[in-house]
Amino acid sequence: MPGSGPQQAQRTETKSSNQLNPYLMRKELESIKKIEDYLSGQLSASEKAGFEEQLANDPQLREEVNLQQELMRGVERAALTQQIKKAGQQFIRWRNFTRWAGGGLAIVLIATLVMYFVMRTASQPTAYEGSQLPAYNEAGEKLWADADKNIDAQIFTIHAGRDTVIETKGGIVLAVPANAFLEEDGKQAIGPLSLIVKEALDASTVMQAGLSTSSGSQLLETGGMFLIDARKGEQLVKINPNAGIYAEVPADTIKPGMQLYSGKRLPDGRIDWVNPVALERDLVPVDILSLDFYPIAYFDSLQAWGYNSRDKIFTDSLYYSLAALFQGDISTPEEGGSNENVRYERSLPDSFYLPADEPGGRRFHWAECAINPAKIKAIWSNTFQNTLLATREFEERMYWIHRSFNGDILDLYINNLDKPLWYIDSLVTLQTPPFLQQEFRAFAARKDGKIKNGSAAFQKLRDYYQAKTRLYTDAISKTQEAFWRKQAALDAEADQKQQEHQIDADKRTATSFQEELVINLKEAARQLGYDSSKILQLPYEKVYKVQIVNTGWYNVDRAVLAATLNRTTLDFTDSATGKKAVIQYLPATFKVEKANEFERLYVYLLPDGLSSFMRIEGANGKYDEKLNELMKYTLVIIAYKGDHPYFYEQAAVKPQEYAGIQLTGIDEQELARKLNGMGKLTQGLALQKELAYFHFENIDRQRRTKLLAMQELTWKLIKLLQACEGTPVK
Amino acid sequence: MDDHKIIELIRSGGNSKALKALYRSFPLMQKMIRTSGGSRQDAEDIFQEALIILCTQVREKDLRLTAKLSTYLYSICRYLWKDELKKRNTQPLDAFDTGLTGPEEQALELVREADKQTSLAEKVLLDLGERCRELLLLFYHGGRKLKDIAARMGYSSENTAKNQKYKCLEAARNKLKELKQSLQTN
Repeated sequence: MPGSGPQQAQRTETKSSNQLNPYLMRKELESIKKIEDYLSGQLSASEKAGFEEQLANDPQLREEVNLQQELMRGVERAALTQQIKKAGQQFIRWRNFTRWAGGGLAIVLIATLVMYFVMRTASQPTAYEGSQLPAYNEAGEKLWADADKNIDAQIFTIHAGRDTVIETKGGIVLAVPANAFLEEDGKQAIGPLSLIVKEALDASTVMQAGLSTSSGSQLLETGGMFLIDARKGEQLVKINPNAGIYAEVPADTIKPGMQLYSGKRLPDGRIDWVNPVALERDLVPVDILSLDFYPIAYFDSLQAWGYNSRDKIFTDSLYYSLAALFQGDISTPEEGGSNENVRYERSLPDSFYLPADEPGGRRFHWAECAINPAKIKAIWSNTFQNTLLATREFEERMYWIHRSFNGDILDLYINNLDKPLWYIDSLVTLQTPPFLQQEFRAFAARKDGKIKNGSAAFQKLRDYYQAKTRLYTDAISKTQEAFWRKQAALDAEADQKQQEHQIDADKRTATSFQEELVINLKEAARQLGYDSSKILQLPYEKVYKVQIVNTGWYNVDRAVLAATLNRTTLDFTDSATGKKAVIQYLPATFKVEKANEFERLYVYLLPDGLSSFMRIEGANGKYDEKLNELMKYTLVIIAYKGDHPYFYEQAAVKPQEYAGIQLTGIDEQELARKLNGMGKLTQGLALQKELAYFHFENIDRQRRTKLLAMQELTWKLIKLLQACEGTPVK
Repeated sequence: MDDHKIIELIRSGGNSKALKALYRSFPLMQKMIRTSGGSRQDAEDIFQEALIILCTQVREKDLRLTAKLSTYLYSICRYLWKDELKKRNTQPLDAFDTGLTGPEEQALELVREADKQTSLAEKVLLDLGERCRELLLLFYHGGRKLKDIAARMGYSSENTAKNQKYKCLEAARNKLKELKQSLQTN
């Protein structure tokens, strides 16, 4: 029977199971799941038969199944398209490769020749001691100048694998990076090495040593002369051209235009100075906040995706929010302790998973293939004003640092704030993939130096950088986690409210139906001359339990039930008495002007005979309902543009078409007052409750839409800012 | 790689290798299109569509090869290109022979008709947002377990990923419905 009983029972059941299961599923999602199970053959034989029967009778369900099937095919097609595009790119790349492979071979050949040459000319040298010289000079030649003999050697023992800074007697500071030397066969030199320095920094030493200060026929002004040689035991080692040694030569006054000359020993014992190179240039600090340290493509992508890339607060917080990715890498060694409270899908995965069957598939940590935005946040601040980070030159490097997706490279710069830029550049070339080596080699060749009188608190800055990176990462992930936890709670609340609202609506439908049925029954009984008091014992369910008095009653009961249920006119004749009972249901139509201008539009009828209201469904501004002639109806229409309510009211609605209904604006309080005074008290209250829910739902929908957009944006950004998946973009 | 092997690969889902082999015929096809008034982009588009049709036919086993696979692929391209030229209405078409028999062309037309529907669904999926698309592709095409997907995409649990999957499907279904309706009314 169509009373309220079973329907309500079912509702209550869904509700309680929803409370147990946090992953509450809406009706629509349940239906999608069912269709999917059907399509993938996961239904049991009896379920399948039942579903197919439903399918045969329900065209809407059929359409849904078709759509879902098409989507599955669409997924396959999308995958195929992806594969085809990839194959196409590979094909073109392969073709291009074969075109320049000839050139590649030639380069390899030349490199081999040079090595051969070096090996043939170099031979066994003997040790330096005091003014004694080995047989061969640093270039492997048996040639020494007077100055070599006249100046005592200073010998430093260093370890090839370590960064070393030494200071000579005359005050030259040499910074020797780890692995800065190559053996004759081009291999990295390891173990202890001797670094030999001969220096002539003041005029008297220069003259006593018999050094000249001329380049060809040109006279030079000297800022100091020195020889650097390195040996491993008695063997020559060369400075790795990619690493270089950094030398600071003391001077009383800095004179512009100073250049570094290489000494060429002449057979007569003199040294000619050749191949001048510019000394490193000082850097000019600028306001660090005026520089751009964002990753490449960050601005452009935001712009392309339709976001305001000029809003620095937005771009900052968005970029820094990704620091939460790095949480696992920095603070907590035990990760993966799943937080049961976090029900919402976190927007940020803490590691990136490539399935094992893909080549190179394994779990990545973000730090391996992306730069932690917290690092950028730490340096892009006033603390680093007046350091080499606050220079246009460093900004240029930042572009390529981002392209490396390698946080260690950024660390190199911050850990070496006391060194000149070019020195750090050459350290970088040792750690970068080939396509970046070229860039950083070019940077190193520019000899960008340091900031004169720059901040000297290097160690402090280094510590600050590390501490802040950790701190920001921590704080940002906590904020993120709290945010998503809160969203999860809001979701649960909204789901709960939606369920309650649905239950209310179902209850209302059931109650209204019951009330209307009683009215109709009474009227039919009156018209037929029956004694209605016998039958109408409420609640209605009990009616079926009393004995049926005669056939007429039984039949009219069924006829009234059908008429009420379908809202069709009752036209019943008692075959025994010949009396008739007629209750008319007549159509009424309401057409709202400019309905599509409202974001939300609700049409209600308030019947005087019922305790609640009826909500009328419709579309495109047209709403139909059938009116029971036994009742008087009041029409209420409420609509919203944004948060502004609009209102229309019509008492004593007749069964006819109402065209051109125009809503007028109204303020919230006035609306509440109107609704209070309308129809019965219960109707007004129920209407207000309904509207309050719609209001909430509207706001919540906006929230969810925003969240989705946010997740989508974050996801796109993640793809842009890491190189874990696939190779870095060149 | 011989035709038999390519067909076997496509049927068993080893598309990448098969596609790589099929791409060898691309230069020839590109030349054909470029000498008959098409651009490089045209060539790529036509070739891609031809590959999709070929793979569909191979998978649905409604393909009776009477020539080499590459020849057939070339014929599909000619067929598609001829149709495109007809649409653009720029070329005299009499001399443009597809090299296909009548029944072959009819079979092709049927597959193509069906593929148009499928490409609507694909378009909807492309418009769906990257996250949804990736989720659906990983699950339905990649056959990945929800557990793996949750780990990879940062969902807190398998259940969340599952629920999200249904939501994505729902959104896609609604969009597809809308799209089809708008195509019908236009």
